[in-house]
Amino acid sequence: MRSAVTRNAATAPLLEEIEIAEPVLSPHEDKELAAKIRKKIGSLPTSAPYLMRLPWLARALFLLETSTRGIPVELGELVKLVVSQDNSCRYCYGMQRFMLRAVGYGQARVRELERDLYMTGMDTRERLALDFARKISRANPRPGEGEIEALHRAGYDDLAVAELAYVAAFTCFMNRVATAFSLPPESIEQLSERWFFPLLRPLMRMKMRAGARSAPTALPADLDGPWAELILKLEGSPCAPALAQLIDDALASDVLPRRAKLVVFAVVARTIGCMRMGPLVEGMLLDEGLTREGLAGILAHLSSPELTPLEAELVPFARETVRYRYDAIQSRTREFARGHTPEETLEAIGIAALANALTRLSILLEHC
Amino acid sequence: MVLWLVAFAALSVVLAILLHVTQRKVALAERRLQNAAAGLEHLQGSFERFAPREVVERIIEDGQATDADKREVTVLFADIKGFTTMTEALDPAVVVQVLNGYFAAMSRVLVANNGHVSKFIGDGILALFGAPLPNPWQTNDAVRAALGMRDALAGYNRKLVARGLATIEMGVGIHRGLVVSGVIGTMELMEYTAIGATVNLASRVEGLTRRHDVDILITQEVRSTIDPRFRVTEMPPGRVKGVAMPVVTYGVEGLDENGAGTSSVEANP
Repeated sequence: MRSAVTRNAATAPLLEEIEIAEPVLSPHEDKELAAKIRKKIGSLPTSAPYLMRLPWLARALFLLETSTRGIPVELGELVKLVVSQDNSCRYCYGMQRFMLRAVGYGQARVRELERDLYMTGMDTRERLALDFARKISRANPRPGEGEIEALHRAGYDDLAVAELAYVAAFTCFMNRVATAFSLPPESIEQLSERWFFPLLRPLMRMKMRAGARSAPTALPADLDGPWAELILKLEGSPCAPALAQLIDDALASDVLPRRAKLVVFAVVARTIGCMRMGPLVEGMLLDEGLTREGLAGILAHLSSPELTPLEAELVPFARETVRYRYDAIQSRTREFARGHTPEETLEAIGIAALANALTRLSILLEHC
Repeated sequence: MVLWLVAFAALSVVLAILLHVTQRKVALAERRLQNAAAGLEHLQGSFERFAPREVVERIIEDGQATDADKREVTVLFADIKGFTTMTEALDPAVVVQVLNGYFAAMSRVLVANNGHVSKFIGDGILALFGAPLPNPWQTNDAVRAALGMRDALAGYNRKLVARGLATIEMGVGIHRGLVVSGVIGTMELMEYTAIGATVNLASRVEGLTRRHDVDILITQEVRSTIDPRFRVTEMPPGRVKGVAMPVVTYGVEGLDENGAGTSSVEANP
């Protein structure tokens, strides 16, 4: 029997309860990238300059397509709110409150959803989707076959399930980047309080829906490589080419060595206990020159004489990003930043965040 | 016509009064509901310190704590040596202050090493590694935590000495095995914890620290899964209550962070 006064996620904080820390890095503007962001979004977000030293990461947060075809725009935005609130990500939570207002939710309704999701007249179908998204985010444990079958019975087809998983996993990616760097809240959050906002809202909603309809879904013809199977689970969705681009950009960047990035992936996969991502990345690490003995040492004890000093530093860092303790993530990031360049710090967090997203998303390989 | 108008006016006044009264009652009910919600949320937040968030949510949803599981967990027991004697010599307020300071210092280390502080039993601490969250490196974390507790205790003892108080000595026992874990207790008093032979043995091993005159002891089950860079010394087998065969334990000296990982077990002469 559910109490009439339970809080969403029992103890997830409200926006005003989350502390705002000082950004970890100083801002830096890349004019060309800033112009692209302005063109897509209409303005340059306050937080964008804090990530621009690493273009692929800034593109991932501000330019990456997250429109969906299988689930309504409103449900996608609700998923992002629930996950961001659950993770106490001040930046993303604030933005998602604004986005929900933009897609048509009134202020009182948003407040209701924050305080007690399940007492707001939500139907079972929507509730199932949000429960699924939260489980993806928490990965303790990740959703199993039972949860996916329940979604199918509720009328969500394979594409809808894949997109729900993607939106939840990608929100986890954004939450970790925003939290690690203590990105400052966007000034646009206050726009929804202005008197003229009700006049703007229908235009914003139209733009979002039009964007969702027109977003490209075509995958590269030569899609190949270890991630292809995962990307193909989203075939038909704009999320698929977006995911393919993100993975390519992240692994192609030469700020951190490729092997160091794969070590991060392996640690995250092992922490979560992912039976698909783990072996996939472990195979890639062997291809990069790690011996079986060295790999066994990393997996068993998080240490190996074969680890470079950078890799040895990334191992506990990667592990800390899995379970969302935002104070621990922030303090690890500050510690890493003290001994590394801003670009290296940005890439370390970006890769760890991506590893968390892909590991969570890989349930599509296990159960779909 | 006039009569109808008067009747209509009278009815409007009555309805307006009824509406006003109803609105006031609704507003009062909403305030009470908000206060109750705030109170319950505070309780939920407090309870989260004793049980994981997912467990709290399931209790709220189901009205009771029903889920429990059997899993492999590493159990750490810590106890203060000679604390009972110490308490007899100290003012009760000072005893509580010293104990709470010790608990705070040790808990910080345990949590920083991915441990879950399950309960305080008198001057003892029971911590779990691998529950409620699964942890592939639970034994390494537990032994690192014990070494961290050793360092933290040294720091805490310096503060006690500065206050003119006696120092504390601690014993830590660590064992790994199957437990039943879940929320145990009643709605009035419950905690997330583990029960079973594994927990009992960890407690007995902690007791052996006095016999072997060491501060940290681990069992063979822990020794066989930890990083080989931990330096350990084998102790003579010791009999403990509830276990038929003598228990082989290892004293933990430290960790060679830069070591190559060769097995460094010395037999106790």
